[in-house]
Amino acid sequence: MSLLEVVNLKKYFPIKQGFLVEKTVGYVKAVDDVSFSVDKNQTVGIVGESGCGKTTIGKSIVRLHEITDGEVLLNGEDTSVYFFKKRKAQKFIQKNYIEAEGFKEGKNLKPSQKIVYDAYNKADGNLEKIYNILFEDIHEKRKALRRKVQIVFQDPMSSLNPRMTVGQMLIEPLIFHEIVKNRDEAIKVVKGLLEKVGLKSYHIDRYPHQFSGGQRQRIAVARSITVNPELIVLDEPTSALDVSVQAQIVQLLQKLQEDLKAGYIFISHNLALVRFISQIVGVMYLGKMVEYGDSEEVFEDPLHPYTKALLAAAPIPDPDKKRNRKELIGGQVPSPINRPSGCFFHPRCKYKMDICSKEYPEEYIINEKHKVACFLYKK
Amino acid sequence: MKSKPILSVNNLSTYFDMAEGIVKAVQDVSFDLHRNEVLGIVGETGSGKSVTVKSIAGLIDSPGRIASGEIKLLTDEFSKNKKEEYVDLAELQYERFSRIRGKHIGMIFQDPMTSLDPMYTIGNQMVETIVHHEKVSAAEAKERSIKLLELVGIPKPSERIDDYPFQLSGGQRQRVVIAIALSCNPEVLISDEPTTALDVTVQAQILELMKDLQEEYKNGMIFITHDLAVIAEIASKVSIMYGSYQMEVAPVEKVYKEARHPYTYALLSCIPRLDIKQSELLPIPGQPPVMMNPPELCPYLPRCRRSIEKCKKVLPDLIEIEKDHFVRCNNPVAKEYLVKEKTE
Ligand SMILES: Nc1ncnc2c1ncn2[C@@H]1O[C@H](COP(=O)(O)OP(=O)(O)OP(=O)(O)O)[C@@H](O)[C@H]1O
Ligand SMILES: Nc1ncnc2c1ncn2[C@@H]1O[C@H](COP(=O)(O)OP(=O)(O)OP(=O)(O)O)[C@@H](O)[C@H]1O
Ligand code: SF4
Ligand SMILES: [Mg+2]
Ligand SMILES: [Mg+2]
Repeated sequence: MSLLEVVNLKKYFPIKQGFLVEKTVGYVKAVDDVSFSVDKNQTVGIVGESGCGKTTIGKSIVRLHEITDGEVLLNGEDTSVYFFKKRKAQKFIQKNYIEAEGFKEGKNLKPSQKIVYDAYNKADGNLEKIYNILFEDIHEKRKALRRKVQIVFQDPMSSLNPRMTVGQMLIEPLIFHEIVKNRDEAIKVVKGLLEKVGLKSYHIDRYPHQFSGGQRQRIAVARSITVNPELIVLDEPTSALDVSVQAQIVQLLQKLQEDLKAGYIFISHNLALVRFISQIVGVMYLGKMVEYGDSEEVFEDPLHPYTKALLAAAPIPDPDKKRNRKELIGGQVPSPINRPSGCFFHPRCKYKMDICSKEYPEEYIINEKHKVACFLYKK
Repeated sequence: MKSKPILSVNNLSTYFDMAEGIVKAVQDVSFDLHRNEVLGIVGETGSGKSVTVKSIAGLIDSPGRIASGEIKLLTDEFSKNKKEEYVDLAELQYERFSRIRGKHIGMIFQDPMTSLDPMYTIGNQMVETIVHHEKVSAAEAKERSIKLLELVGIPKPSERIDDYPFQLSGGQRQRVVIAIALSCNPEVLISDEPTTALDVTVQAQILELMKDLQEEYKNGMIFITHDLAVIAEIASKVSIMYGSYQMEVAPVEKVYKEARHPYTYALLSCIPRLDIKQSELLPIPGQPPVMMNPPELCPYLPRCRRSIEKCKKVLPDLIEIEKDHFVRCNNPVAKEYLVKEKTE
């Protein structure tokens, strides 16, 4: 079983218009039917150009967004419903579980279905009762999830509270999640954490503005690991840093992963960095994952025309290696509000065929791990 | 024999007098730029890249000042007999600069909106630049503008010329800024991180465009970036800056294959690469320096693995250790070492 499984995740943002009475006139489909999984001790990279939905995926997984549809399973447990409002949760259970094929017969149930199935039987199929049984301890469940899944953002200055000392920032989650018994113990733990991320224990009483950008990112990383998370979403954690400092943070993250055995989702537009740090990579375009597979395979032999273009476009720090001009594409990413018909990439694609402007391609399986959403790979 | 450089900067230092002390943003910077040459300036945040080129373009205002050095531009702009002569821009009066900027020195910045006025159509802005510097009619200037827009890859230029900047995408705006910078065919073209804000596929388009145009116009170009990969694409010569000083200046191949300065060397080992599988990155320990009242020593000293006793006492000079290869270091990486490592 995977640590994290994301199944057909959708996150749509309504576009509202109107002066006094707001009306939803459409949706930005920021993440549209994305599936992937992350194992313990594994790093999955997500790449793509600005606005393709990388951050939205990350925020949906840590529940800073209520997802529109889909499942987010942590250790096989469907956690997406925990953050829904009651009515939506009930509808979700009805649609995704009770009406699912084979559910009522109780055959071949996955762990998350099993939980709902037991509640279903106990409550004689009454939705209200099922809800009550499942969400009796909803606050505990939410809290546990908030501990297990952490996120680190690009800009450490805006994600750290400027009025709190490092100590205050790090002690709070320890006490909230009851990881330590008292303050003294918390202080000891925090000092240890600071050393662990390459800072000094006496930094505990300083404020964020007293640190350099790289040090602040170390604090953000320290905060994310205080509560022993199982999964950390790293959203461009080094993009605001100089390259010499970036390498320090990357090394730190790798070392911590060895200790924690946590799964990482590493979001970045820096392809070289993602190649270096991740074992699996997903390439996004306009809310869709267009290619997904083993990092080495994807970077050595990209299959989707967009992945090819992206890799050809990235400059290489070697004056002898000139880029492959043949794969370069023109134009820019279209507006997510008004996505092209068929395959969203077809207006820029060098390989497009008739069908490409008519239908969105399904994900064609290349091998166990490697999937490509492109008609070129239709068998 | 090499021609005379179009721009020759010698021992340039630019300081900012702040209440808390003096920020020594640029110190002792020297380089020559020839026609048809692309000088890349690379360095981390605050190393002095932008202040270097702002000094050249006469854009340093109080509390900043050019503390010393000369910036010699070869131009006929002020000569009586139309013969080219060197004019020291460090000494040039402010009013006379408007005859240099835009005409002899074109500029492209990271954010195209710093160069474009949102209230005017791109056509207005292009025509104004051309008419300001050259004796041509507005109609001629417009015709030239349309040609330029076509050159930089704006589709249907005769229609788009009446667009306002907000009607264009980020990449298209940067194309327009390039067109404006080129409109008077300046001898020197300065680009300060022109592609940093763009998506990578659009960055590639703009870089290819700039390379093609540079080959066609044969102007001297100064290209600033913090990205060593972008520099490898476009530059013929590279200046590596760190803490206000140039650490190493060399032809592009030398920088990537025979870096002699410990900083350049370390920098190349800590960047991830897309073209190869790396087993590790070697971070540079410590933090970049603060430029307020810095000691008169090598700025890399606190982070350097090769520092020797001398480094704690003497600031090294920028020395030509072999032809066209300059290094500022008391203990440069030995050439034999580089060769040995490569064959292993
Ligand atoms: N809160 C929101 N409300 C409305 N639209 C949003 C919201 N957050 C994101 N979007 C839209 O969703 C799309 C995806 O945005 P997202 O931030 O996930 O992109 P990204 O891949 O992280 O881009 P970047 O590389 O620029 O960080 C964009 O079109 C964005 O404008
Ligand atoms: N107007 C100013 N007033 C005071 N200090 C300044 C001013 N402009 C620049 N500096 C300082 O001069 C130093 C060099 O700045 P500069 O802008 O040249 O850096 P840079 O190499 O271009 O960095 P970046 O990659 O961040 O653009 C920095 O320490 C900066 O804080
Ligand atoms: S001068 Fe000294 S401290 Fe500076 S880079 Fe060279 S060896 Fe290192
Ligand atoms: Mg983002
Ligand atoms: Mg700058």
